[in-house]
Amino acid sequence: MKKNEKYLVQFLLKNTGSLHQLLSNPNIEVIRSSLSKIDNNNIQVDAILSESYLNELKPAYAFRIKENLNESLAESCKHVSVNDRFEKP
Amino acid sequence: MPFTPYLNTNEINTLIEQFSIDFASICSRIILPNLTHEGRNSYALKLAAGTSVHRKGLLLLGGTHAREWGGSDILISLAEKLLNAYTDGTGITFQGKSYSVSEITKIMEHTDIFIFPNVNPDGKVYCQGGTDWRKNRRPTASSVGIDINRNYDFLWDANNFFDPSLSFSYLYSESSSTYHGSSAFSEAETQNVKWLVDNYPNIAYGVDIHSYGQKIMYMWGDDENQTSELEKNFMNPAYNASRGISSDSYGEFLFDKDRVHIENTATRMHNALFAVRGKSYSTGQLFHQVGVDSGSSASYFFSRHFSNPSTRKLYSYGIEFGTTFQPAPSEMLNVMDDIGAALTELCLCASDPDLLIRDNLSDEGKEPSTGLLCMSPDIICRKTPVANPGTAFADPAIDPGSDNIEIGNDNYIYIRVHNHGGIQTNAQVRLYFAPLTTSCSPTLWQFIDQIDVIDIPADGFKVSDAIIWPHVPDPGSTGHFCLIAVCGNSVDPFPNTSMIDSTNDYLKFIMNSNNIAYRNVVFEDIVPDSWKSIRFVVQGFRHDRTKINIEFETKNLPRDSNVKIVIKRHLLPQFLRLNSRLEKLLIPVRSFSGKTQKFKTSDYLKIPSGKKLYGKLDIKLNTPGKQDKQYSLAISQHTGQLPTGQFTLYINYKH
Repeated sequence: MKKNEKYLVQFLLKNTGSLHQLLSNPNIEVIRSSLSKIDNNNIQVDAILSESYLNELKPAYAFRIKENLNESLAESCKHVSVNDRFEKP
Repeated sequence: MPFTPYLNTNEINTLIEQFSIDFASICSRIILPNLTHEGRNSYALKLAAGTSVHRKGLLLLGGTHAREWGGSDILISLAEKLLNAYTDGTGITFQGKSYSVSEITKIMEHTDIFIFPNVNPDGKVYCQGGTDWRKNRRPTASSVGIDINRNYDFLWDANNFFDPSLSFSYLYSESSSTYHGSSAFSEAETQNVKWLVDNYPNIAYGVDIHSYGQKIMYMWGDDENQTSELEKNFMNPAYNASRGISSDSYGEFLFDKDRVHIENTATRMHNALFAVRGKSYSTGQLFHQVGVDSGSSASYFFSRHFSNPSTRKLYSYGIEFGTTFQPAPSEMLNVMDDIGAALTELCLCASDPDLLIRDNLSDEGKEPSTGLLCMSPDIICRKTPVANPGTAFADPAIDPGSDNIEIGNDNYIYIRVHNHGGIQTNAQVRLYFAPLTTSCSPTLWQFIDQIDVIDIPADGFKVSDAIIWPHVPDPGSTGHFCLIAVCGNSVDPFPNTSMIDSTNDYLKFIMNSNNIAYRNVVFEDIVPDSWKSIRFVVQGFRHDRTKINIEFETKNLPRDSNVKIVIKRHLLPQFLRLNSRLEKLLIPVRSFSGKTQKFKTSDYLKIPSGKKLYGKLDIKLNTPGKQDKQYSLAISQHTGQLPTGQFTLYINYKH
């Protein structure tokens, strides 16, 4: 892991109370559109957080790293033209 | 010019301009009024062909969140497909889902499609420069950026509107990715969206496209939807500590017909998307799909007609495409087909038949309606059959008027049913009458008959055959008649009246049902110097606790005329203070134990919940007026501060 990297992380939560805890943490950006219910006792949701918070959250939450956002963004940026492909000369 | 994802901001602007040049007759560019913080212009497209008059608008938003690039690509691609297909006379195929030439024609000629593909250009430029970002780029006191989709005016100040157990610190912290700004609509980006819906009042559908999550969502976002308790709504401060918790007693109100409509349209979008390549997006209410919502576009759009009834009802949806913020380009091309099909399906829904019986000549079918409700020009009574009603009542700009109902004889009633959709349709019309009443709620309606109206043309109307009201009974003690016409079909069903428990329910119901119309039909002829008695009903509602006030309004009764109101004494605890201008004209009296007593004023009537009050109005015109002049006396019902309804007596002299 690199320093100051942002990671997309998937949390496995036991209840909506845990979700509200995550939401109230300004250092975590919860991607609420990723919210899904696994069963009556478990929900999962993605969130973005920096590397420094990964270790901090480890004791309290079950989660897995999905991707390094900086790396995936860099990959996506390769598909954006620096020019205007449609500008007429 | 098909393109590969991802478009940058300059490319989006160039394509918007190019479309407006290449397809000038069916596509125009809209320059939005507010520059972004970094000084960029924002542009939208309007796609519209043909000359149909009654067309609904759709507003499609993309690029709200900086990192969710594909929304812009989806919308530019869709615009290009629609413009090319309509121009070339072809259909559109999104892999396994195809739309025919006639469907594309119907969409383009019967809707206005507003596409705002890059709501947050500053954010996109910044993010495509290599930094992950969500918000816009306007600096705040301690940080940078405001979340555009938390900046709309819907329960924006969340700390004051939701259950206190919920934490919204993420909305109030400037460093948060979801900081909602210093006030609702503080940002140029949200102001531009608001400008569009304010300035194009035919916009009836709104979609905000985001990534990711594979979801199709619809309003409401603050709590679970419910259709039975109108007072439980986002504007009622009594529930400010109750919102946002599932499975409790609070739910956010919407009319059942609107619930059915949004669920049906969302299902159709889902099915169209699924047909493309088998992707199944979860479909449901925002509240259930992403949790409590404050300040989002989707809830704001639908809230507008509640907080300002002069605005049009705007059904709203959010789409979360894909499984990552920026799918790989090859997958993004597939996603463009997925969402393109869903949005094309929604455009088809917007051009579906929309039935209307007008409340008045200026009624365009907007829900909620405004203006006079009791003189529908589309309910036409005749004492004798009309040989060719389609010709006789062919001009919708003219109110053909209505004959008096003839007691004891057959009467013939014709209904003009309008279709503000893009395809011919059929409808059923049900006709009711109600006695003279200040508030013509459905509990007073009595069924007369029903009739099918076949082949109502797109963007047109058709006159029904006669509904015969046989041997009309003498209204006698119940006074005059009001006729009520209701129409419906499978696409635009008959409204459900079961939720009406209060005056407020009733008012909102009739304003939000454009397939119901009323017409008062009886004129009174009065012999000078003799009393004429007319009986009327004042309606109470099951859950009303407020008191009812009856008011009189007349501008031109002849001098020295007398008007009496006879109502049970115990219902009149105090006297009503009349407008001083009317005092000479109005002498109300109350009657009890067979004795009549005059009084000058009355006050609120305490009608027991759910009961009807029967009153009697006596009029004597002591001085003959002009023979060719028609006089009128309006009696209106107010519940609390709300005008509930009224009837107007049109008075002619009998010679």
